[in-house]
Amino acid sequence: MDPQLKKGLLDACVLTVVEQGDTYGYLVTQKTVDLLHVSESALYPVLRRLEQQGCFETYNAEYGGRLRKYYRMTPVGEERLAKTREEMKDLYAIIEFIMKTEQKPDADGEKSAKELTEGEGK
Amino acid sequence: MTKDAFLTELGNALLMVPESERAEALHYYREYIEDAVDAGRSEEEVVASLEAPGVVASRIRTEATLARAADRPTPRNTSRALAAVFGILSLPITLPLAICIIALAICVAAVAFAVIVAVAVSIAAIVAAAIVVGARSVYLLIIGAMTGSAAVFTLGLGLIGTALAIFAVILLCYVAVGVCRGVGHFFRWVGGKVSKGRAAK
Repeated sequence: MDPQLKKGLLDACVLTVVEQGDTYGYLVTQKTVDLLHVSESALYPVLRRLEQQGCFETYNAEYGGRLRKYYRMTPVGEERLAKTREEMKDLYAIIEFIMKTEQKPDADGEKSAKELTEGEGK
Repeated sequence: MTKDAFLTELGNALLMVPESERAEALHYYREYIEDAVDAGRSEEEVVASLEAPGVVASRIRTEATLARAADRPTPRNTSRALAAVFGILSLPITLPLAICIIALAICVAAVAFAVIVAVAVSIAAIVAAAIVVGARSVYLLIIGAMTGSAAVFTLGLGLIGTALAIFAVILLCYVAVGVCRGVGHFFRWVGGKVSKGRAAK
């Protein structure tokens, strides 16, 4: 996948996971890696970047005798995710267009480009 | 690879990153592996499913320099961020090049050192010869085994040798200083080329 597109999708997925409730690195990774086909170690830079941009606030809570870092959504994060979702609506229309053309080349009874050019040649 | 081996390698690869960022990253990956083990996976398996420590570190370094450039978009920071990105991309070219330059530098230093040692040994030999000839003539003069003129002749030879040696020591000092300066100039020249190359990126 295009790295720039993937980066944006990674951010959006991580924001979505944290929006569902306070969570920690391992859980965020487990919920997103299979979907995005990235390495398990690829999520840390994303979490760190979003944290530094103020999308998350963090706190440490004890778990099994050690401290675990939890991420919690902030208003900045909510705003970012809402904006991303708006952009995704446009993207969705584009994706729909691309996928429809791929699956049904002669949809809606229209002549395909090939037929049209052949017709011009005669 | 074990958790500790992974974290040690990652820590070493992050030495150039600000300490707070380095500690943060190490803490995250330690916690990650421990959480995975708690979830029932083996330590080896978890570490294997992560990228190599060097790759993880380069991701973090790139992100850190990009973040710094975004915070303060000065030309210096931006060029640093670009250099970080290009640095990773051009690693297959720059790495052998760097090894070549270092090897060349070691060769130059070794040749300079060899020249100085060779001249020093030659001078030591002259001094030793002068002392031996001088001492022998004095000794022969004292025990009366040599006629006056012959003794004076060999003593003269000894003195000439000593004078030559002193002259050679002075010359060696000049040569050594010159060679050291030359090597210094060479390194500065190489350094200049390298930093110019970076600036061009």
